[in-house]
Amino acid sequence: MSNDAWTIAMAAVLGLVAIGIYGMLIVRNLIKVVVALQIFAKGTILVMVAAGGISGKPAVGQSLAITVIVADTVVTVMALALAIQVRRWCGTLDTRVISRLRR
Amino acid sequence: MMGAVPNFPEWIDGVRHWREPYSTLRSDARKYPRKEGFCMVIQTLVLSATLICALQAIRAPRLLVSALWLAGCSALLAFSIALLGAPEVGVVELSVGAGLVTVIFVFAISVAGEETIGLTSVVPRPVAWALIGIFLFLLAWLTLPGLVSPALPRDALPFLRALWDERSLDTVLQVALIFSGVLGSLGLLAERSDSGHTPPKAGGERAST
Repeated sequence: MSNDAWTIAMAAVLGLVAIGIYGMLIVRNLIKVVVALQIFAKGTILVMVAAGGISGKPAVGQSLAITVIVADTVVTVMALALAIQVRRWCGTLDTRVISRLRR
Repeated sequence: MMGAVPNFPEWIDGVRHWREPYSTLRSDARKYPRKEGFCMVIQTLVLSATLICALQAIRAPRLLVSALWLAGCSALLAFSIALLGAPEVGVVELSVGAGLVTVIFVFAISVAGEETIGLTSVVPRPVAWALIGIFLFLLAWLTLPGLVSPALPRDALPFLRALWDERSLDTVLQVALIFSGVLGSLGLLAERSDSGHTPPKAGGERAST
């Protein structure tokens, strides 16, 4: 009955992951990099729920999805604290300006 | 498996063991199977709106607007997860993903200050698009065959029992993770009480390099 529901969900997962990777590669603002990471993690949450439904073990998939939500939130908090400190010490959030690798 | 934890509350077993997708949207799934298409249209619309919100969150020039688009993306995703038969995960995603994370983002933007940086990328665009293509190809190659496999036997484990019994170590570790995150962010954000070190001015440290 519900194979199409999971197919739609997996298509959305591909879209979310693509947008997340695009953002992390393109964007230079540190806080917006965290936004892109969040979008990527939302794709992960959806794929956990969908994989649980497809494989016939929905409870395991959903509990892993909750684990992903918690871990991703902690990572976001830490990354934003780092971004605030970078802004405080370097005066900018631009990854190209704070990078010392080239120039 | 059910008898493994004798002291577990009785009411957990009253929770429905398995939810079909869309069963949260309608309680008459058995009686009127033809309404399935309508639910699928709703899900497609919600997920498309989620993708649009995600794209706008990347494209928005202002950080605050970007955070708000991200909150919208999260709320729509929570609705979609609830439609797929996992309302518990949807509620957690709505409260944490759309609520708490947005508050933290707005706090961080208000502390760090709004800074508009253009979308000229560090990575050249063709390389970025090639990487995205390779990644999507790999992901689709690995996941899509699972969709056409015959339906597997369903595990009748209730969600809360799986969360608290099967993965209780995960749950305890999540608590530890939250505390370590709080302590880490407090350590990062702490101001030095002695006035010996002051942050350099913008680009001041870079002047020597």
